[in-house]
Amino acid sequence: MATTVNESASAAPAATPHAHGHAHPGFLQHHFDTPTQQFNASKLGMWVFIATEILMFGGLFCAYAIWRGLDEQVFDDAHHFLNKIMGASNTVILLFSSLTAALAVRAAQTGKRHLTSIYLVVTILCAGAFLVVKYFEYTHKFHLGLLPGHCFGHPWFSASIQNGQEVGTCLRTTDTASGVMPQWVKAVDEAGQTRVLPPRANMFFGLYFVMTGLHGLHVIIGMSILTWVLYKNIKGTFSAEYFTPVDLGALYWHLVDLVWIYLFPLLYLVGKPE
Amino acid sequence: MTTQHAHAPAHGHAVHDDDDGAVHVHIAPTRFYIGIFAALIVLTFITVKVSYYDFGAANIVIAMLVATMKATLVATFFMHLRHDKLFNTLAFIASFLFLGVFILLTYDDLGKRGQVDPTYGGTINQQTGAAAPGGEPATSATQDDVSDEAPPPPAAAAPAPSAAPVAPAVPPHASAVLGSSAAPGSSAGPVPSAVPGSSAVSPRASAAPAPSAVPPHPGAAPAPSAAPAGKPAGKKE
Repeated sequence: MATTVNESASAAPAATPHAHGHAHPGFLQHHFDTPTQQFNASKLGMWVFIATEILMFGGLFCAYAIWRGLDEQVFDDAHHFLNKIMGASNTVILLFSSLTAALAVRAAQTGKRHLTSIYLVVTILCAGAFLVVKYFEYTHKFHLGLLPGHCFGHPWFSASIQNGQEVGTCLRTTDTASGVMPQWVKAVDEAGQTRVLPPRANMFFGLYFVMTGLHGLHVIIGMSILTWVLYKNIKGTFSAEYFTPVDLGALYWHLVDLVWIYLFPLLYLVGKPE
Repeated sequence: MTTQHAHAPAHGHAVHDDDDGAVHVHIAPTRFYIGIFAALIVLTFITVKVSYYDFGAANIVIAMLVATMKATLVATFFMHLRHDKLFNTLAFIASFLFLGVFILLTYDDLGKRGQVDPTYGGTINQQTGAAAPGGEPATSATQDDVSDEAPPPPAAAAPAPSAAPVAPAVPPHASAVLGSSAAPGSSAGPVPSAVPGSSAVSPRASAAPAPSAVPPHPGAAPAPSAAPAGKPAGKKE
């Protein structure tokens, strides 16, 4: 035991040919017999966590399936307000960041610490770029008045629907002199066409904002995790023998990618084209 | 860089020796990862391109097929499931199975409930017009009750049969709005003219005679007049 502790103290990043057999390097927690056991346990834990994440997003995908099934027309109309090019750009950015995350793991597996850092930095920058694109998408929709709760009111609470009166454009709280809750939104979609959205378009935009918002939250969390991994990597914690946090951090990032792979077509693409 | 089956610890062990306890993983070459990325980009391009054409109901099928291909590539290679413990794959796949159960059962439940009212969002069964289980208490089920009960008392029933179907016909939202003013009336209403049997059967029938007796509120008067408009409004497309 004592010898193994000494060895762990100098757990250098390079592939130190430490004692073979059942040595206890520093990264090996005392309740594990071998690094392999620890590695497999960590991975299984991560995969179970990923399963729970899928189920959490699954609730939203279920809501999407239900509401789209109930009124496809609304989804068809509303999806024209999403910019396919921006969505596709974000898809490419995320896929590329997934590649660099996988390469960061590969570099860690082969003990190339500096290369690992570079790939991690690129991954984090891509995550930031994704959020920047998302920012422009969100602000444009806010501007059009497509944020539920702001421009979409419930018809029960609206005087204008009982009068058969329609509101042309979204009445903001700032320019609403009449105090009428707007339920129709008229705005110019991404193809430049003026479009009137029915009251229940808020279901589409509600799902859009919640699904992409939860995903965006995961992007931010993933950035934080990868930044922590990067910090540890620069400090020299990881080596060819011990790269589990790099691996698991990348797994989390791939999960973010996986969710977006489904979000992108469901929100941006599947509606009926003009 | 491009050694296909390099194993992480570089010391000279037999390749598949698990006894030394060190972590051995499959390391794919960089080129391989770039190839996977290229495939993902191609699939993304395809799915975006296809979205400009209308294939009707197949739109979502195509999009989900391509997305699943992409997700499979990411999970298999970027997430190393290909060379990972099978149990991890099992945990991953199981989450989709349970997700499927979740969505299918929810869909099944929804199908049994009826449809969403296009105007007011309440759930009614549009085939039968009946209030769906879990939906708003609505029209035709109570109408049936009233019509069954109405014939036995022919004498006092002159206002009752005409008024009774009317009150339930008020759409759910309207009854909610009128509820505050109608509720006091219903306590005073049944006493003079209503048949005890009908008031026992449904609370709606007890509210109906109120206009025929003493209109307790001016607010109760609009109910019959609003009702003929409200009745079709509940099912209007």
